[in-house]
Amino acid sequence: MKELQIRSEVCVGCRSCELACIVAHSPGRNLLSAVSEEQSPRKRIIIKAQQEGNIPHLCHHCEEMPCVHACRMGAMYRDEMGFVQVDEKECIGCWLCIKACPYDAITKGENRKIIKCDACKDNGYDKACVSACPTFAIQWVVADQIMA
Amino acid sequence: MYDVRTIDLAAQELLKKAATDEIETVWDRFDAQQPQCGFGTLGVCCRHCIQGPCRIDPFGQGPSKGICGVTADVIVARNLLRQVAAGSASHVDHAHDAVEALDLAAQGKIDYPITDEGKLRAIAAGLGLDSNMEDVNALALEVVQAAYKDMGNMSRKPMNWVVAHAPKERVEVWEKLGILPRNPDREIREALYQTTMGMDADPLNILLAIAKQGLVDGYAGLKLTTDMQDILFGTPAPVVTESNLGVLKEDYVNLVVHGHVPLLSEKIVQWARKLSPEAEAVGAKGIQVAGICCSGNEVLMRQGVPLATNYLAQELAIVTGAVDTMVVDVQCIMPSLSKIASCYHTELITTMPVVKIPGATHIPFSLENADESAQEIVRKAIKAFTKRDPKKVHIPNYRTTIMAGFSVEAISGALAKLDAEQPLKPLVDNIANGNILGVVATVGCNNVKVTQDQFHVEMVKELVKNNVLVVATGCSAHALAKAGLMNSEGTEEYAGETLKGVLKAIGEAAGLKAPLPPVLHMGSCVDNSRIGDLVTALANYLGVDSAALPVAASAPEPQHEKALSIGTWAVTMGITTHLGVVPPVLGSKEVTELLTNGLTEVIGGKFYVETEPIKAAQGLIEDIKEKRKKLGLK
Repeated sequence: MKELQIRSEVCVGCRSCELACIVAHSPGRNLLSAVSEEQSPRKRIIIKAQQEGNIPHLCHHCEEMPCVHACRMGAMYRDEMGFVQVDEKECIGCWLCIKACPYDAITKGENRKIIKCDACKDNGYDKACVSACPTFAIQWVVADQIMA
Repeated sequence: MYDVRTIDLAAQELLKKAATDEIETVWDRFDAQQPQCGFGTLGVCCRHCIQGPCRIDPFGQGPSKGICGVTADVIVARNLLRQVAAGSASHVDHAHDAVEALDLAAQGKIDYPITDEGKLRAIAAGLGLDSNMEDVNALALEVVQAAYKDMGNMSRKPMNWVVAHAPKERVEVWEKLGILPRNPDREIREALYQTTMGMDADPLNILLAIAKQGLVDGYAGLKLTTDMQDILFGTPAPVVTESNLGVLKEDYVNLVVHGHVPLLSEKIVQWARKLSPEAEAVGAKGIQVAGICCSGNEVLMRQGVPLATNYLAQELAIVTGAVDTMVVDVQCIMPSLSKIASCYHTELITTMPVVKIPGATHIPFSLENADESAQEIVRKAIKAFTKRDPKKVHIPNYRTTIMAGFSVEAISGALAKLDAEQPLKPLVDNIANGNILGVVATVGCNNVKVTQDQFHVEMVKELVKNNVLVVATGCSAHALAKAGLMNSEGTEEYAGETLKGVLKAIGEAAGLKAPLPPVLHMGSCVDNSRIGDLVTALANYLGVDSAALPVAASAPEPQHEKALSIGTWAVTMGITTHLGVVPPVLGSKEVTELLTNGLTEVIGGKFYVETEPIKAAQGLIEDIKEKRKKLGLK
């Protein structure tokens, strides 16, 4: 199993991951067509400038998955590939998962539905933010190979 | 993203050799740059003050304004103005060098000829000077003074070079819009000023400034340069030679000229001919000069020197292992050349004060020491030949016959064989009767984002099949030459029936004993002025605005800021101008809309972006048909 590794010390804050995330979830999956689409999908990764540096906020699909445990509707689950997903039909927008997430990775979306990283499942789990990062600040690596 | 890197078979072969030789090329570096920054791609990044950098979220989920309050529309427009101004600056500086050369030549201070007295007199007459003056040097100095007066014009009056040469209807349009340039340096300076922090925040006003830069480029850059270079070195007439890297010869000293300014390369061609015995003395059969980019086009047009290759394959020329010396002047020179040259015996020589590359030999060029520099460079090539490693040599066996040298004067000359009184009449008649549907000018670069040459070739094949006459310059001309669209066989193979008939008739009348090619090579990128001259002549002959003519332009694979400034000039001429690669403007819907549609009403022309070659050809044909309809033509 691979784990998300964030290296804030090399994040230059370019926000390319944010753009790539939106594009990957847009109908055309292409930057130049996505900018002309009526409504763009909400981004699932947000770069925040914090004291310790720029930190990409996105779901770590962590082992503890407090969001799944916090959800009273059973709308959140771990999929067959090991990534935490939300069943939009079941989500009622109680925002308990948002409070539970230690990574500040879930946001409020339209129509009382949450927005979170889906690990680009509709694109064969080929994660757009990882590919977009020019400094390799966001990577999925085998657990025992995580750099100190 | 492309599937294949190039359609040029010579380049394909050399890419394999580059891989074996472990040479990193432009394509490898492009791959390493992926993915490229989305903010930059859309033009919404501003670095004009050091409170920034700022970027606007194009999806409206993050900041919609920069720190100063600037919007995406203004950032996109400002960035474009700076790019277009940089393109204009390139051509204006080139023009300045050419004017200075004529100045010193006329004073007898340098060893440069005044080859084309007829052109000198024609330009003098156009400027309202006494063109019958007997003393050619004195007349040349008057023309030089007129050029200097424009370049240093401190009054509010517009540049004479624009007003004297542009169609009258256009000058009126530009005057109304307040975009007639005063002097080129002042307008380029103003563009930098207008776009700095706390200045213009009106996208429309900035777009008009961009249009003004187009006029700076067209007249103070392109037109002025070609005029001076034709007077000095002669106005091109048809020549037949070959193109592509197969023109390099295993048993000759191979000297490649690369860049844009012919002031040095003309001298190199001359000295390569003179010093051939020295090459023979070291065991070579002679000296083969070949050209890359527009220095190549310049010496092709006037001296019949073969074309080596265009922009994207410049590194691959060295990978042949057969280039003894590559001498570069200005523009489009990849800094990577020196590293690659160091892997072979090739001596890379830089010559200009503003283009130096660590690892290259620098031989300073000046007008006063041009002969000495040229001799030194040719002798270095001869010496390098003796160090060539035959094991590393591979010259791909691809070369295509091309007929080039189609200046407006040469085209008129050929047409005059059909109608001596009114040379343009046969062309206009054939456009009017529909034998020629219209004219498309393809210009500009290669761009590594798309398969090399593919857009040029596929689009142009579709155009000529539909009886559109194509004229070409720059790296577009190289691409079409390599693909066999610039010889008589190309007419038989690719031209539509009625176009073929016209090209055959003109070819026969002009004594070529073969049809004219379906694509006419009109020269280097600055020689886009020749296309402007042709459009102006057609407009004047018909007494209509150039915006009404069934003429369009295309930069299928634009890469350089110069392509944007040339394209802008074409748009200000009222011409629909296609771009095959999307410029960094999509971050602003307003700017994109104005460039591709909104400005047409006031300026006549527009940009047209289409990234599929066949669709682009069809779009241009539709545009031409629309203009024909408005002129009452079928």
